[in-house]
Parts: sequence; structure tokens; C-alpha cells
Amino acid sequence: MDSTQLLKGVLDVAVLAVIDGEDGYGYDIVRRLRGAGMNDIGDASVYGTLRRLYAAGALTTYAVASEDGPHRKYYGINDFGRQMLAEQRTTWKAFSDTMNSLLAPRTAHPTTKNGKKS
Amino acid sequence: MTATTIRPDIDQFAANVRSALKDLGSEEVSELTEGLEADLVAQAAEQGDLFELPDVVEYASELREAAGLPAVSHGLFGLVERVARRVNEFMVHNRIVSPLARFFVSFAPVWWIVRGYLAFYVVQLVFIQPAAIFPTSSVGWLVLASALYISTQLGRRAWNLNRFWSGTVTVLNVFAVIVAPGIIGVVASVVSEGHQLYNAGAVVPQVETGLRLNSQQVDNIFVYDEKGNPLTDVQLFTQDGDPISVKFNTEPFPNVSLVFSDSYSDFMYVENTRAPRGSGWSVFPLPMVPTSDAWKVEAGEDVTWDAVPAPLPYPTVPALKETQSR
Repeated sequence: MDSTQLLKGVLDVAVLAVIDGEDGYGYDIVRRLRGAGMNDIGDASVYGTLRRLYAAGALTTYAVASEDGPHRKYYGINDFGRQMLAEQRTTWKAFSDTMNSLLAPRTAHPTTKNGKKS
Repeated sequence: MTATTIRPDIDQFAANVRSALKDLGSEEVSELTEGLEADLVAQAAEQGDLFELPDVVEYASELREAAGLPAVSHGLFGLVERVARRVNEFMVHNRIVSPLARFFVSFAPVWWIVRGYLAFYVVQLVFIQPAAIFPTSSVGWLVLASALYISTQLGRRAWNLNRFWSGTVTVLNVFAVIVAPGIIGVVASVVSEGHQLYNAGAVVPQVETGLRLNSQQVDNIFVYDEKGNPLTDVQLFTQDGDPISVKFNTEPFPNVSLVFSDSYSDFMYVENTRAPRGSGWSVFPLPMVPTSDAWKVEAGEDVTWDAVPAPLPYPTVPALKETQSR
């Protein structure tokens, strides 16, 4: 299964979750997501998602000067972002429970009338 | 915001990404790519020799998609979208234009109505020439009502349009802005001219024309002689000497009078062809021609050979009493 498409669907909540613990700049957030196991995620996808979440009012930004180069743009979560994260956690929990139940290996296989396994 | 780093390749890459996104407008590009150099420098520092700059086009496309911004659009729609975005950005951020723009935006509902009317007028120009200022039929009123409804709903953004329809609406908006002065000028001119003629007494208020009996339209008249036999080509006048005409204006064919009887629905009354043109509506009974001749009649062509007598309400009527001779 192509995990890239799955990642796109959950990137918003994943980004909100990693920022919820601590503010971070773009690449820092990419690193945290990859560290959590989302290795296939593209940098630009994360940066674009950050911009979209900021435009939606879920994040705050501020610039931090860097001694050895251009300033970094940090993102932090605000109350609306936390509310959004809480809602998406609930949605994800229900969805993942459904999928886990659906995909769990079955112990007994139903048989057809002629006795063959379906 | 752009910045320089100790890595010219990163600076160049960031510049190329911004260039690939420039159709979004400077503010959006700045928001989307602010901190890009710093992120890439951090990434390069961490990955060392393994660091490789991605493809600019793919990177910019991924950035757009993730940010929920429209993909690069080509062709007429793309050009219109880009121009509209630039104009919008200018109007929102310019210190002088912005307050004016907000003021005019409050009149948006007026524009929705005007736009709907323009659509109605253009539809008329395309399908029914010449166009009337106001609808002259139930279909016309339906078209006008539909145009006003659609325009208002679009203005209220009541419908979630896909890119194709959104682009189509943008192009039609530009078209509406272009044709608006011309159509409004024509309408204003016609209204003004009519008002002047009315004031000068040259125009009388529209009254119902034709002949009515107990509020019912009289389409034809049948005359019988003293023996009760039908007469043809009878001229009728009022006590003042005015011809009794049954003609009433019937759009879109003002020179015919349509028959609404189920039995003769394929025929229509025309003026009596033995009278001078225009005065045959008071010579009875009026003859009938097939409705397919409507265009010929309007064009002034002779339809005498197609004319048939109108069916009599009664073949004959009771004869009158004999007069007493002295």
C-alpha cells in the first residue's frame, strides 16, 4: 500500500501533535515527524501544511535570529489549534478502531454450502 | 522574506522556488517560503554530503498542494486568475485603494442584480433580436428570474464551485464588466427617449388593444344576412366612423392574430387581404393561414393563396322576419 496518500490525510493532526509539545521551526518539525516514524514525508508537504494551519488560525509564528545564517520561522500552537487537535484525535481514534477491527486477522473462516472455504 | 546564506546553491534554489510560485502574489509567496533558506541550511548541516537539493518544480508544486493553494494554471483561465489575484492583492494592501475598495464592496449586492440583468439582456441578444428592456413573455420573465437568482447565489458564494466553473465565472465576470457600459447605455437611452416622448404627449399609456366582449378577446366576427346566410368581406365601423378592428399586438408576430382554438391550432388569423395592408383587420370574417406562414406575413409577403376561410360558428342562422311591404 502506498503510504504517501495515507500520510497526506493525517498530516494536519500529526503536525499539530508534534507542535503541541514544543514550538519548532520548519525543518525541526520535519525531523520530529520523521523521528516518530513518518519517514516518507516530504519537506515541502510539511512546510505547506504549516502555512495552511497558520492561515486557518491554528498556529502562531515568530522569527528567531540565527547566528550562523538567516532567521528561523518558528511555529507554535494556539487555543484554536489545540481544540482542532483534540477533535482530530477523537476522529482518528474512532477511525483507527474501525480499521483495526476491520483488518484484524480472523480466527475462523466461513465456509460455503459445498464445504469449500470462501 | 528572502535571506542569503553561506550556500549559494540554497539561495538560488529558494529564489527559483519563489519564482515558481510568483503567480500567487508576493505576500503569499513570502508567507509560504519565509524561513525556507534556514530550513534548508539546517537540513544540509544535518545530512552533510548526503544533502541534495530537490527538483524546484516538484518542490514548489508540493508546497502549493500542501498549503491548499491552486496549482499553476495555464491558458485564459490561468491568466484571468493570476490577474484577478494581483488586482485583489493590490486592492487589499494599497493604503489609498483599500478603503475605497471596502466601500465599493458594500455595494456588491447591487452588482449581483446588475450582472443578472446583463445576463438576461445578452441571452435576448443571442436568441431574440432585438432585445427588450423588460421581458415580454413568461419565458422572458423566467430567464430574468433565473439570471438574477444565479448571479445572487454566485455573489453570496452559496455554491462550492470547482476550478473549471470558478474560472468560467471569472471570465464571465470580466465579460459582464466589459459589456455593462454598452448595455446600460442602451437601456438608459431607451428609457430616457420614452420618457421624453411621453412628456411631449407623443406616447399614450399602453391600453389593451383589440376588441373585447365581456372581457373576452374577440378574434373574429361572422356576419349573416337577413336570410341567415353567411356574408364575406363585410366592413364594420363604429358610430364615430372608426373601423372595428380585432387586431391586438401579438409578439413576436405583430401582424398576425394567433388562434387558440384546439381544433385550429395550426392556423392563425391574418387581416383580410382584399383591404389595403394594415386596414384589413376590420373586414370580416378574417381569413386564416397556416402558422408556418408567420414569417412570410411579417416579411410582407402575399399569403393570399395560402388563406382559407375561417370556420363558421354556425353554417346558417335563423332568417329574420319578412318586412311588411305597404
